[in-house]
Amino acid sequence: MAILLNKDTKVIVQGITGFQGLFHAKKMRDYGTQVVGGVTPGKGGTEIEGFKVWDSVAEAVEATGANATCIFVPAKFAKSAAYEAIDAGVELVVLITEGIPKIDTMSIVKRANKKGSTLIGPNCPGLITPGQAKIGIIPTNIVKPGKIGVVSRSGTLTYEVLEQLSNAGLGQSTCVGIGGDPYKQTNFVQVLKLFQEDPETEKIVMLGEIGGNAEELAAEFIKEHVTKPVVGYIAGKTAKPGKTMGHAGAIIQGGKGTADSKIKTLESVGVKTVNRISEIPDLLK
Amino acid sequence: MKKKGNFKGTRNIAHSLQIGRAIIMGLILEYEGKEFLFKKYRIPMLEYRLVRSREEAEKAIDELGAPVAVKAQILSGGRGKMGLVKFSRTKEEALANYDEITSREFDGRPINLVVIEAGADIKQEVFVSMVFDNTGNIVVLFSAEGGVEIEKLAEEEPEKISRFVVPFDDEIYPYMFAAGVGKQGFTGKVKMKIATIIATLVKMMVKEDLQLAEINPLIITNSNDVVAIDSRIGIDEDAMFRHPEREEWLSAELRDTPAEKDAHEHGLAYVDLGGDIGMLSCGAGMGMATADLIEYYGGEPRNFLDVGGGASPEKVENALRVMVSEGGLKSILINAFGGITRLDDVAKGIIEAKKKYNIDIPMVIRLNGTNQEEGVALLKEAGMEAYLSMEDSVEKAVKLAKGEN
Repeated sequence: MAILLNKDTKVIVQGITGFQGLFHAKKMRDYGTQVVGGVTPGKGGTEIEGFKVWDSVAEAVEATGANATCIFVPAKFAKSAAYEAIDAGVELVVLITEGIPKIDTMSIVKRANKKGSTLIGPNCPGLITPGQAKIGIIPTNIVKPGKIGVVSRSGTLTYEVLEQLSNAGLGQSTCVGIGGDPYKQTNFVQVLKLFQEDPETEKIVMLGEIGGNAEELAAEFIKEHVTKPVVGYIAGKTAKPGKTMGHAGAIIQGGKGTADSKIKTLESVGVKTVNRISEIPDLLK
Repeated sequence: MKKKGNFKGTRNIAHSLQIGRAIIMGLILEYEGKEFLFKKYRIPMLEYRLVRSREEAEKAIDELGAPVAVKAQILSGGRGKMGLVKFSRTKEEALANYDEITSREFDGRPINLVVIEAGADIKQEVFVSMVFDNTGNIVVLFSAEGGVEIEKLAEEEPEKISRFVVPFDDEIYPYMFAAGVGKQGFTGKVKMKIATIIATLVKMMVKEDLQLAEINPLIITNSNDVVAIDSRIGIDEDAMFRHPEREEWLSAELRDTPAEKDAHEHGLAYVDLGGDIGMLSCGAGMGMATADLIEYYGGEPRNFLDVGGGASPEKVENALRVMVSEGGLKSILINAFGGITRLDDVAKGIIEAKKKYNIDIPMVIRLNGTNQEEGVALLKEAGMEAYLSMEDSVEKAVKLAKGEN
């Protein structure tokens, strides 16, 4: 089961002839993911490291039946790359690229909503279902199969948490990195819903950050719809108002969106929160 | 009881306001908003001059004729409250105000950019501000009570603020704002002039890749003209590739502290936090968590410095150079979790930086993940140790900063 991704998912990589695209396409394949090929406009018909290359997503989908894509193209071209995946009817679109203009991201989200694609990202590490498959850049040596669902706004922080979970013998059902940008289709709420419905997920870890109101919306959703235990961590207590900490999403909005207010809101709906990520495994045991 | 009407409640309004007020990232100068955006979109304004010296100021005052307003050009709102916008009735008063303003500093820099603006006969001051929310809409706030106390107004009398929610990709026309502006007591031509300016700003948000567009105050003159006195604009810095000219704007220079600027030029994220522990992380979330942990153990991070995932030795070396250039460090903490990042690369960067920049500040290094063994071996060769656990390393860095061992 798991969510969004399993060993049967057929993945293409957009930007597969680029350095990052190829590097991670190989890593995905090495992990057992069905990477059925890639797309680089103008290089259709060629082959690279055993991956077939097409000029467009539509052609790749027609030839392979791919139902997921991982996008590694530069920010300038991300909008058209995402559009062509959505237009080709790809169910799961994972947008790794960071630094995409807000207007472009909003246009992509709107198109994905309209055509029914699930969009993960942008500016995200992707997702992994341990023991089955991964789309994106999450390291595979730090995960192990199990029953903890992990959803996170951050990249490397997630890796730290995954490693600590695995070391403590707590495997994961699926880990979804939803990305650090404020505008996105798939946020905490959507992933929490999937974890709640997934019989293989028993407990949930949610890693938030300062800024925006995604954690507050998640709290509202948890209160009404989530019966599985949720452990939360919010990064950015030290943030100064108004400055961003690397992620566009991490903007403190006046007194709201601070780590303290988010922690309070989550605690009020029964989410156990921690000050240090090393405390997470104990709360899940 | 407060009237709810079309509002989703005070909280939402206050929230929308706060988003607008808190975005410092991407802010441009009042002058730039007017010169490069308002002029292009034909938003009515008063005559103004940007001046950089007393001679230029005097010339501008003579050309425009007193009364004039003397306005400091800084990347911040609330200039009126800070005494950085001064209405001046005579030439002498204007020059005295110019001298006073330019004798001051803002954000550690001298104020040397000033706008001299022609005086106006103000009948009323109104307020308009807009930002994107996180769902693909533009949220517009309009009030007949312009001025500096807009947050207070949102809290106490939300019905005095009209709120519009416009999908970002809709066609926009002035009629869409007419009723809401009318609700605040405006009629006829003035109402439609205001609605037209709001519609123009909304279009500008999308076409110009803005994050924030605000005019406070927008004034109604005695002859019923509607004129923008201020401009407060935030641009989307991710969209620079569509607007390369913005790299040359004065605000690009002012936006970052010198260390922040240096960092950004080398693809690093740097935020000054004011403490004494220099901190380097690979990844933003990890950086935030590390800063939090430093505070948890009773220390104070000097900075947030993120090299991102997959950093090269050169990037790490540059990051350390930027870090030590700021001075005032008591210890340095490098927290590297190697996912895409290769820890031997991190180690190489550290060793190189230590040599090149003679760093003798005590350094605590944590390496865990990809190519960890190679990284640790390199450090050992250079006489350095590495921690495996994040918490141990943070605790040690805090102790060192406090002069303990």
